[in-house]
Amino acid sequence: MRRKLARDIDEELRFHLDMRAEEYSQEGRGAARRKALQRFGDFKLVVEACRSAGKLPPPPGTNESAIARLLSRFGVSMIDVRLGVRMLTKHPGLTGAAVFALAVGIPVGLAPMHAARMFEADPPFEEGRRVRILKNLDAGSANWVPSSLQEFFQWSDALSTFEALGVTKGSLYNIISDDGLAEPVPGAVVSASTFNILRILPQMGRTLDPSDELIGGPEVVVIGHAVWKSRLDGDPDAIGRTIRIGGVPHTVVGVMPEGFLFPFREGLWLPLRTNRLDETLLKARGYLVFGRLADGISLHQAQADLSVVGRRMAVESPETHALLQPEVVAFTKGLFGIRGGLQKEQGFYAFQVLALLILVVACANVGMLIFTRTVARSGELAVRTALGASRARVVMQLFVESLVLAVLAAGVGLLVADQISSSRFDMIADVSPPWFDLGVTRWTVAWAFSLAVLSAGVMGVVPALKVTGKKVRRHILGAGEGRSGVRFGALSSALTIANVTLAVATVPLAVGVVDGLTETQEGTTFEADQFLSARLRMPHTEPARASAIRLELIRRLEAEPGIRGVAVGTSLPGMDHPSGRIELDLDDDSSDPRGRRVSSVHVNVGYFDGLDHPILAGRGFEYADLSGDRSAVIVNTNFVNNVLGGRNPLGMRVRYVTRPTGGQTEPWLEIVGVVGSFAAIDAGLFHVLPPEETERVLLAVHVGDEPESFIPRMRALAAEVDPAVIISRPMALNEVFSFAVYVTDWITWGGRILTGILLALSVSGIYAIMSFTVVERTSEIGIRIALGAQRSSIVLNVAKRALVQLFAGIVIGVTIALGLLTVLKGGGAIPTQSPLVMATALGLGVTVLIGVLACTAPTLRALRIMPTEALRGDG
Amino acid sequence: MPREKTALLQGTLDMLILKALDREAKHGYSVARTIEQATDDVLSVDEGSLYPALHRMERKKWIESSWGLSENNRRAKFYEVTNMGRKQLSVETSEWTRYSHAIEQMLHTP
Repeated sequence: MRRKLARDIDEELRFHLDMRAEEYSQEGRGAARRKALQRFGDFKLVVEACRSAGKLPPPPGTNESAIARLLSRFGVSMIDVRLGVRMLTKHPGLTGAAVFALAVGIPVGLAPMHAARMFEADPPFEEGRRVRILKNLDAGSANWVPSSLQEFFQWSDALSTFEALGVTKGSLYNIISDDGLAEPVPGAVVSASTFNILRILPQMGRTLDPSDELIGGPEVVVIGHAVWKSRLDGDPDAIGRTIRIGGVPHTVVGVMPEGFLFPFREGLWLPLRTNRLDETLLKARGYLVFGRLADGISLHQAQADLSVVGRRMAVESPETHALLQPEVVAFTKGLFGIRGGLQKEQGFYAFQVLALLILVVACANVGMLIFTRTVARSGELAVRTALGASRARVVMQLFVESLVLAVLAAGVGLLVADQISSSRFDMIADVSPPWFDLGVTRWTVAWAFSLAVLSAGVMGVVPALKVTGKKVRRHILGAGEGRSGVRFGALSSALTIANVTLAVATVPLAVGVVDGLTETQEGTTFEADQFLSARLRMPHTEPARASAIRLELIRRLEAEPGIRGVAVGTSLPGMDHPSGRIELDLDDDSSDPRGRRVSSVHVNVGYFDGLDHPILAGRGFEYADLSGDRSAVIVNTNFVNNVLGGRNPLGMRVRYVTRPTGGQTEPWLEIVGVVGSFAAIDAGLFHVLPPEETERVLLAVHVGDEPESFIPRMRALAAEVDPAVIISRPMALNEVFSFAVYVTDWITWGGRILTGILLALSVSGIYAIMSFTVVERTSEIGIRIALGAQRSSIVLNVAKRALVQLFAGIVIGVTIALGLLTVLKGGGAIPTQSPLVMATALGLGVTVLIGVLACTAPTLRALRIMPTEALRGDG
Repeated sequence: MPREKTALLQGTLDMLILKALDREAKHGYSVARTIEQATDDVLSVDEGSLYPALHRMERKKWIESSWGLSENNRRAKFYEVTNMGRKQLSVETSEWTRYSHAIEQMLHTP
């Protein structure tokens, strides 16, 4: 529009110049043109003058900016914004409190949706959205299962809706340096099609060819930028050099560009070599199949195509594929195994509702503070009304003032949230793809702004409508005496009761939820900082040989001077434990028919000795337990207390509950011993570690002080035993990251902080509203005293109302807390542990104290005022 | 020898433009030429003022514009007076007549 206007003016003026030049044409063409221009004057200036002459005049006194124009579209004037900013500085206390409350409320309200959005991120490949993962859904468990090579080959042959399919499996590979030291690097076996599907070219050399997939062909590897830099010192002639991976020399055929990692954070790629006749290998799961949608093919078409293939496979191999339904899945979701996004995860909406509830509470309380300020400004509002401002205009002004506050708070909140998330991101960086961004995105900012507008609506418009109501305006305009004329009445009572309810319900509820997460855990102190932990892997070794290597490594480690013990297990104290559901072999087992969830760990025979953790009852594992049906299990004290209800566990039988579609039942296991519980591990069931286990094995070496000093020696010992042994992530056991502990920590601390904030908000709300209502009654108190009322009866009168509100709030709060706790505990009885009782008492005590203070101070002040003064003054 | 040109009196440009456009639609150059020719080149229209004035008057809805073809078949912007413009012209003309008559009377006072 604006450009067209400029073009028109230009054309019009040039026409004029040409005509004038024609008029002078007898003086020669050049001279005529010069003369015309001379007469015309400064062309640009005239253009500018025409443009401004054609515009509508701006309102007097304003210099209209782009922001102002944007705001005016929504009926907001810059004057309102300036007033809003002025209000921020005029009431710094209120601003501080409100910004604090909303700076917490807005990011917390956003957090669940933000977390859900992260899994929607597209991978950073060319047209990354069209690169999809193909996965089988197990209809029985409603979980995705990893794919097999057999599925990859069948899908590749049958699907026409994909340009090509690729397959990968991540692992760790030891790159052995010239001095014999092995250091593991995350890498992946990939099909040669991978790089074409991702449309990524190498920085040097080539990517993998189908010929590289031939069994018996030369050993080749494509390395990532980081490996090239660190292992080959960024050698420009790296192509053709060899590196030893797990003892086998591999020729480097390509170097990928910086930043390219695939599929997670793997930085070297070996060709997939498969014997298509080896059925066991073909059916083994653990692979990730992906592909690029063919041009013009929609997701829906690809899914339909895949479903047809899936149904055919179900008919052909019913024993393995009857319950499997293949799905085309977004890359990031597929990588994380989050089906349908976080929104479909259990508890997501509860989390979202809770988060928004916190925002609503924050808004309600800030709203209450603003309410009192707005009432105090009735005079100013009356003047504005008298000068002709409409109700809508005044409401808009108050809304914009709240909006300025909310936008400021949202900005502060986002900055703080960004700082926190980026500092905590290191913790999960290892287990997330590089494009996974926890920080603030444009989307987050847009949502935060929307929430700010919503908040401003709640806390600005509601009080504004109340204060500008007809009754109040009549009062203000007509009488003009000191009191605002705003009677809180029912609204104030409702707000007070709501806040008391919240204060009373919050604390026990938060304690109950956190308590429910961690159950009752008794933990013995375990000196994790004395142990060196590491992951022990031999993915490319035969199971029988792996078992022998492991035993030899344990023997050598134990023989090292100063080493007090070695423990090997699928999990170590303080780490995440896989869990399963079990049932008890008891006649009176009335517990949940789905079974009780317990942690399940496989440990070596010397595990508890190695950890210096004595058997409390029964016996430990023996080598004899490795033969036969391996039915002996050991439980911890948390298992005895929480699952068995304190019964003697020795000789008792338990078994895992299989899902109904699974067919066979699991064998019974016999409890042969009891050990103390480690902190942060719930009910635990220990099995003996099968010697053939090669993948998920962790090592704990009891070194003593500074356990990390033993890392080089441990690596050297491992390389001596076999170069194929991969020792990864060596660190002191107390440094080990446990997602469960991490999340529990966050929820516990987050819960405590949020509870504190909620409590602070509620009690400040109670104080503000109660003291305000008493202040509003100052003149009434004065009149009563003037009429001869007893001071005690006045105190009682004021206290009665406050007490009724407090009592109502407490009753509702306790009822809600108990109700919610009952739901959370799955219908069971509310445990009467001391933390919960203490928390309830704390919530009640603080609320009552604040309530009494809120009434007493202003009442006493009112009583001290002389009746005549109260009547004369502003009240 | 060309006649000496006189600059327009402040506040008269709008009136002259309206008068120039009174009979027919004209483009900017034609407006300028009409004023010059009607006054035997005594009044010279400053082009730097003419076009901003045309745009301002269009905004005030005294005149309206449309693109058309000029006498030499070029695209040109033509202006014509609206009813509001005619009223404005008659107001300004009577004021000017009154004003110039008063000045004349004063100057011819013996």
